[in-house]
Amino acid sequence: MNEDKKTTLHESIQGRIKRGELAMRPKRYFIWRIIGLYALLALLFVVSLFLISFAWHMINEFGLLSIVSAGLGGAPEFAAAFPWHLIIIMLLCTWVALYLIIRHVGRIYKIPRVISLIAILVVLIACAVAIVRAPLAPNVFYIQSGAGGTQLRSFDIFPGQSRSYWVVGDVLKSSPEEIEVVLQGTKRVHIFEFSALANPQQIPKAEDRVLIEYARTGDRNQIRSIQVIEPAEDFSRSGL
Amino acid sequence: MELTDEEIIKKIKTGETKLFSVIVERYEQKMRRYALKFLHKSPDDVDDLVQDVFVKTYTNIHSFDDTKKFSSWLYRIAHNAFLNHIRSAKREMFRMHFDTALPFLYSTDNPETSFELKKLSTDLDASLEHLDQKYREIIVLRFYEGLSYEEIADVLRVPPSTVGVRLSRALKQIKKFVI
Repeated sequence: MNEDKKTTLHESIQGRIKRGELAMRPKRYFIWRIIGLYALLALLFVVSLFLISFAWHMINEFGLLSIVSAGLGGAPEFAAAFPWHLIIIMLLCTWVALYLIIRHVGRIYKIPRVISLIAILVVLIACAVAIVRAPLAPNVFYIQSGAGGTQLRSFDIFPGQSRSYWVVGDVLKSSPEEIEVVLQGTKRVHIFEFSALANPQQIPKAEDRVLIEYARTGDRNQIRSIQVIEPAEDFSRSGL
Repeated sequence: MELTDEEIIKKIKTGETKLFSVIVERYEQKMRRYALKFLHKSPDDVDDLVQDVFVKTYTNIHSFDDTKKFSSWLYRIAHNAFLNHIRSAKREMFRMHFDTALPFLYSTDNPETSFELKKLSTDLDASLEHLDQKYREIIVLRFYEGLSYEEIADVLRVPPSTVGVRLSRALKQIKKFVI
């Protein structure tokens, strides 16, 4: 019985090969498949890198770490403002990449999954930190529309009752449409739609040092006011 | 002198397609046994699956790396084909096995020697159907097909330490059924 079945299978397959119903896939098919696999892995890596660097950028620029340093009271605000969606998508991309690597690339499967995953994440985080530290991406603070009164050389753009944060910066460029500020000597901020909210004569000029007051709502920072910090000698002169 | 599997595959790749019959003859019974024990089906039910394994082997033969062991590659194809069959029946797309996630040390206590092998061999058939799928497969590959830990790791694409852990757990499950 078994012998009959063996002959049948053997003859069946050989017959299909002879009739041309069964053909080997050409070598170039597998070469292209490998190229496609590595291209997909590269894409997943780049997407993950973009997401993690963007998340890192948000954490850094929007002062989320300073909320943590404020203690437990800031925890809910930190949790609400943390870019969870970016982290989750990044982890999904990493998981898919790991799955593909284990299935198709060399003998990576011999390493426990957790170690492989940690190794990939370490590489991603290291690359993301390098990207964030490089002067590639300007920081964009969003300003929602809103009316505000003005003081002498200060601009109350978005008054509100929620907690304010302060940061010092130097104005790099200034125009009615946009002000570019370098925060604490390292980070750049672009402030848009300024002319609609303030008297053009009161807009800070290039090289002015400014104190920016902002509040957080969700994943956005809203600028409440910008105060020009007058140099000390100017005050002494005015006193005379 | 009889050609090795790897030498035969090299010749098939260069156009000697008749030699594929030798591969089918050498492995048909093994594949059939693997399917029968792993899928727990009747001999007639596994015919198409076994044929499918050899068809996939032939069509993908250019993806085989000649420097590696052919039998491991063939068992890998069979493993994928059988899993696809199970998944299509269960509509199961993806299942995560947590025992592949963490590193394990090789057990110094060899589960095969610590357990009474004679009793095991008689009770194995009866116990197989009660085992979880992943434990059943590892028992089949180890005891029926005689693969080493490294070969099983290559077939299942899991860390070798996971093979040891699964085997140990599988034998514990069998013990529960036979005692």
